[in-house]
Amino acid sequence: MEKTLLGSPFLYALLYVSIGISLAGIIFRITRWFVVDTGPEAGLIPVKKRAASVLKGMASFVFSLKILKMFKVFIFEVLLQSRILTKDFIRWIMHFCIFFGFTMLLLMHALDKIITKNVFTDYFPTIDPFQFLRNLFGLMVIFGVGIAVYRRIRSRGSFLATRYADRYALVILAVIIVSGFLEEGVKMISENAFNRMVNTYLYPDDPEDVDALKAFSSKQYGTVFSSAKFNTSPKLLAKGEMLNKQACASCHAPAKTAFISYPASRLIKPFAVTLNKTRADIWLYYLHVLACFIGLAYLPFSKFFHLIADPLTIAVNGVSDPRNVDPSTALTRRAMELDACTECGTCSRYCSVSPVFTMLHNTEILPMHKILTLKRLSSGKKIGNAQMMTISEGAFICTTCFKCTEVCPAGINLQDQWLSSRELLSEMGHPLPHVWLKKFNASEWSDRMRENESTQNEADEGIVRYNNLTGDSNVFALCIQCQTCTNVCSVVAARTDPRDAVDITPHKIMNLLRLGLHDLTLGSRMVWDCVTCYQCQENCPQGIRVTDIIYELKNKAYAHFKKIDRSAAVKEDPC
Amino acid sequence: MKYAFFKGCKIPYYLEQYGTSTRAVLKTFGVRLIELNFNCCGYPNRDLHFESFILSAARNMALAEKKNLDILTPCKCCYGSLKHASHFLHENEMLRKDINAVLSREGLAWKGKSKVKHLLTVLCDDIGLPAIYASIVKPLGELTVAAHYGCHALRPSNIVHFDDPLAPSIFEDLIAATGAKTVDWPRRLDCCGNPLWGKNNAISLSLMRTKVMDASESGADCICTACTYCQLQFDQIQGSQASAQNIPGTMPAILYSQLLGISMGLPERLLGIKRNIIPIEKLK
Repeated sequence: MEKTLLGSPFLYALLYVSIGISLAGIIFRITRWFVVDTGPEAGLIPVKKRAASVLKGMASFVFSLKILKMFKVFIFEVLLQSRILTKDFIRWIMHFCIFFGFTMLLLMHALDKIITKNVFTDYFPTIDPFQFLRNLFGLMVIFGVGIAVYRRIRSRGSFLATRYADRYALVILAVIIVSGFLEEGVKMISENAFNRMVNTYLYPDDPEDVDALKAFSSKQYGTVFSSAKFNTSPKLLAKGEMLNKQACASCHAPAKTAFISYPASRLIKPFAVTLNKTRADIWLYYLHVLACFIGLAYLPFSKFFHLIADPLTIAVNGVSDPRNVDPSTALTRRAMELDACTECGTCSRYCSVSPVFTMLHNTEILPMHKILTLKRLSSGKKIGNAQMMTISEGAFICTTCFKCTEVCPAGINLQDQWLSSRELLSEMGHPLPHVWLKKFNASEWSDRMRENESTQNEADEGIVRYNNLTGDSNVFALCIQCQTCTNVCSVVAARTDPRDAVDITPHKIMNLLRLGLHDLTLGSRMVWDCVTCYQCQENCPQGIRVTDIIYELKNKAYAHFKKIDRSAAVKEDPC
Repeated sequence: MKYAFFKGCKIPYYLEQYGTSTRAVLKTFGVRLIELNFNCCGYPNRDLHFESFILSAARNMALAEKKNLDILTPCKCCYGSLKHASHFLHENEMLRKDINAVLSREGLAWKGKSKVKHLLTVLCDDIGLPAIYASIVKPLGELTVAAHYGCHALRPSNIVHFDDPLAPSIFEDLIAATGAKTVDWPRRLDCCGNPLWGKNNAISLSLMRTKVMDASESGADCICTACTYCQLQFDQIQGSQASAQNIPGTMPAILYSQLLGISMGLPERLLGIKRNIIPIEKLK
């Protein structure tokens, strides 16, 4: 067997450097989980306490029966990835091929001196089943990568965004496997490799022996010799076959069981002489090994970090109740979960409010994008006011229906992420529309709207396309101001506190519409505190659609007001 | 009988017992409930954007239509929302065209063939009171119940077609079947206050307390709801407020599916009475 890493001190040095970077990176990222702020409790709980409560939680877990449940979670959800299987079979095939293929290559092939050699005492990389299995596992990875690339091209869009990290992950996997196959293929047809083996293992009795073996090897393995000065007579071949049996076969299975590398070697055969001269077997080996080292060193900073974050997340959330979140460990868990997200888009495909995204085109409505935003927020990056308003819109359009949490393949407690981020957004001054609308009264909103006159008509356009109750006088002109609507309104009745009394009542809204003063109704407390119980509409003696009008006013107000910078001060009227 | 079961957004996380108890009750009457990949009914977004509300509702109805199923929902807000959307789509051709153009991207279409029904309508009309009376094994004679109608199923009556909007009786009829007594209370058709929860809590709670006081003064032991949001308001929100501010005089609330389930002798595991925050003394 060849020496590990060709015995090259350079490669050894690189191996240790990449292991060092990898370990340091992993430690760095895990430490971050205890430091970053991921919710409304942030800043209130010191890092020491966060670490202590996580340790305490782990300790109490180890001494409980939950450990049995963890075993089940580990087998089904981590190893067999049942969470993906139940949602998307093709994706499961893709993920499982890459995961299983690569893990087996790592254990059986990359760590052969440490693992395989000790388990199978007669292990030799070039005998079966190892040669066959190496090709099989490699094929699995390539097959998985192929599906991944196809999926990413096929279903491009808001639900599956391909970023640099995804490309890098796929490229590095492809380079590792393809270079491995090529290296094996090149070795098969390489004269150098043949000579090295002959010099080490063949003790020729007869000068013709080497020629005989060359002839046989050329026929059997496709080895290409630059100077073929022998006649491939049947007799010579027979001799070669015998010599092969004596000296080589015990360590070399027939080339055909390397069912990928062997056909690959057929393909590159025309370039064999050049490849041999340029020592392709060596530089392909370097390429293969260096790609592995780069992948290893970059692991903590790449998408591959999910190899660590996801099993942990699945395990932690698999044994804890998503409804009862422990606030002392929540910050740390949330930070870990943010790292566990691979942006697979499953949550967005099952999102209850995705039709709202279809209409409003705000990507912050979709859970996958929201997780990316939470990552940005937790890293403390400054986000502009306009962007924060968009983020808040998405956060509060979510109906916290729990569906994304149920389908997340990484087992992230998305529900808790949404609930805590809403609290955080409210604290940061970006609560839900009904609350930020209270910042100004109806006439202040109307003043602000007038300043933004140019945007008004544009905002109305979308609204009047299907209904125009508030713009059609036939709808509300019938009002006789009998006040039945106001008298049956339970919100009017509930606001008895003079400080909090409704500014205008439903019949006054009708009157303002008749006067053409729509803008004074839009920001009114009555419109935004309407419970839509339809008492007014049901009881109106004139059959006016009072509640539907209030709904339309809310729609109009929302379209107008979200264009107005809520943080700017009101301009004083000079008069 | 077979229906597409439209649970709505709040049942899976906040009110699981409504889903399980509805299933359990309907199963005994031979009703099969099919779960589809429904989205939000559109109701929460109707405040902000009309078309988003219509598309959300239309997609659900189109999903059920594709499977040739009528929709059954236990939530009155979902019911009202789907009924409203259906009405708007019927009467507005341009809206229908635009929405169908969006739906066609995922191979769906809204044609208005699937009916939308509320749990109470299915129990009263499709299964029928005689069958319900026949299924009772443990009449709740001791209990006096205030039926809370819920706004979005009842009004506007020309769109939702649930019952007489001014003098409805369907809920009392169904409660009477369980053997429980009903009370006539002045506020029974008013809003529970939940639409403003999180938006204006002071009004939300004030609306709820007015109703709770009225039910209590009318001699009820509990309020009975048949809507996810109303139950959340009367049980979880009232419960959390009572414990937070130590307010005496709370009025427990029970879901109709739970009430019927008890009188039918169904197991607690499915009914989840113990998951309600405020316990009903007489049912202990």
